[in-house]
Amino acid sequence: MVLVVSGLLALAEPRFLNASNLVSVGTGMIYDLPVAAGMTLVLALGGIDLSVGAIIGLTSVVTAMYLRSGGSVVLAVPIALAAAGGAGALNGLLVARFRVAPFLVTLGTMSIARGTATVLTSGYYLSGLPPAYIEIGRGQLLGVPYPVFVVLGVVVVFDVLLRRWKPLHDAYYAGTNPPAALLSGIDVGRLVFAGYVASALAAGLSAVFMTSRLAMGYARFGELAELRAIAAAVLGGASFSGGTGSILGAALGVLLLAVISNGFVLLKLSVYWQGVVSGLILVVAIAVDASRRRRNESR
Amino acid sequence: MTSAHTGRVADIARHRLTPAARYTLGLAGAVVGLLAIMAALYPQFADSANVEVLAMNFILEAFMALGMTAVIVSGGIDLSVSAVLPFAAIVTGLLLRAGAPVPIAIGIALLASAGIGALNATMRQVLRVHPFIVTLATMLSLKGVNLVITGGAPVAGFPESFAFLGRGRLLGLPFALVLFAALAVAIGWLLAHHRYGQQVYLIGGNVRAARLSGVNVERVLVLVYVLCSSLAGLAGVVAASQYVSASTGFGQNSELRVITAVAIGGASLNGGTGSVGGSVLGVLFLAIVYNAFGMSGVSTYWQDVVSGVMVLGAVLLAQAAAREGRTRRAVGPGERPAAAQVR
Repeated sequence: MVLVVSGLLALAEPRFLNASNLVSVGTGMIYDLPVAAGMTLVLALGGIDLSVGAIIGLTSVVTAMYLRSGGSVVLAVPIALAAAGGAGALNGLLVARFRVAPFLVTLGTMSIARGTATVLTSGYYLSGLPPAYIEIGRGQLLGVPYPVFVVLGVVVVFDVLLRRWKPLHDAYYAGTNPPAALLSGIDVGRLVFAGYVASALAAGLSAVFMTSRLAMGYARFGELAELRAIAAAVLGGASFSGGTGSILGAALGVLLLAVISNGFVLLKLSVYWQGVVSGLILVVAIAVDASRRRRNESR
Repeated sequence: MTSAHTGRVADIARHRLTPAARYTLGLAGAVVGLLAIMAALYPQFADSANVEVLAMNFILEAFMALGMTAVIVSGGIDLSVSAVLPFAAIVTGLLLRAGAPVPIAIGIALLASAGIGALNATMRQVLRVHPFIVTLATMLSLKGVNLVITGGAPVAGFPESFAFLGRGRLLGLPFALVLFAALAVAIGWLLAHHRYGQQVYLIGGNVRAARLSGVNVERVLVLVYVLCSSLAGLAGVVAASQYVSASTGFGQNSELRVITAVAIGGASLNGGTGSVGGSVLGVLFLAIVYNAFGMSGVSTYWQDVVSGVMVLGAVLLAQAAAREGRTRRAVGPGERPAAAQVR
């Protein structure tokens, strides 16, 4: 599907294949890729995480505030990840320990995280970050920004671990049938907790790059990121009933969304159509998923 | 007789109330308490003008919460309401601007909204995916449609008579509030006492059992989603009338506020529980808290934090109540006859 869309786009607008355009498509994806990967794990576990977009905003604000108060650049990244991970731990605790519906838990933490970020900044941008921090996101190696390497590394490692590493691979089983997984000795609660922490950490990573590349902290960073991540994960084979999905698939989902929005820019279509088309893509993805499942059932 | 007797009466009362009913009572108590505290702290809070502002600020969410309750009780969710609201407002606006009579414009807008609900239910059934995904797709597409048909510009220029819906008064109250009260009573009765309403609870509690006991699950669900969408459409029409314009920006994030209110009202997202009364209290609770922020001069930025904390608190409390209910039922048989004897 990605190839088909890319092919059509290349035919319609030759500039699509320009090296600079391809690089810009690639760098545009660095924020969505980690979030979609984390979302895939959470969906595989039978959950959902609506709070990732808000966690990006909160992490961005916390990082910027720390840096502006004279904090060290070296510590800024661990602090950002700790803030994000803390929010994820709250999600994980409420879902795994108190067994509250993940939709409601993450809806609640979404409001809390976005609200806290807004309260901390009164809605203003926090600019004036040290150049050394900005270098994290804007610095380049062989003409490619650092974050691209980091994100690709994270995605590949995450993908391999979820496929091959038994403790993580168990997530599929735990998502399909929690009681059975529990009986066969899998610590489902711990796995679910880890899933939400991982998802939040991924959002934190995205926030680090966003804050650095855009050189400011802003409470509204990451708005709707959760919806894009869910759409990408579902396009990549994840299902709401848990037990399926792959990081590689989600990455292709992100790529598809990125190529399509790039197409809108290149073909100079009104951005107004973008919403219609992304909604329709989701419908197509659902239909593909439905027919795939039906085929499996009839077999 | 006195203290022992009243103690026993309270005991009986506690036993006879379901956990859900106790939760609703507790919420009502919290709403009253909150009102009392605010009235004590700020004399102008209890002012009839402020009470009206408080109620009207959340009137759109209130309309939507009625339908959302039915959807959540059925075990589903509808994220598309925040797109249906501006859609209905825009459709009404465009028709009015084209010179259509007011009732026809409103009728077409409501029909179109109902159609979107039917589309949600049909997609859910044909594609067999979670309503979250289906209605998310509808929301994204419809928001796009809203932008395309308006070009992003607000629609204005309505006849005088249209303003009555959002700004008119009946019996000394805003007309929209009276309309809401009537609908709340009707839908509350429908959900609690009508056969269809009970089937909605049955479906939310256990679809398979509902199907086995002869409930036409698909038809009931179509009705539920049509109801939810139509009410979001009605909220849109009311908004267009209130603001005498229609804009794609109407109802931003309203789906989250509505789901929050319904969750605070005691509905579980797993389906099978919840009530219109509880949801109305949930909306009222949110409305009071938001109003309190305005009144006390605390930054309104805190609103999101507080509403998030409230969702988590409400869900944890409702869950604790349900758990207590379960354990009581487990040891219940010995207690029941005793209670019956006293009665």
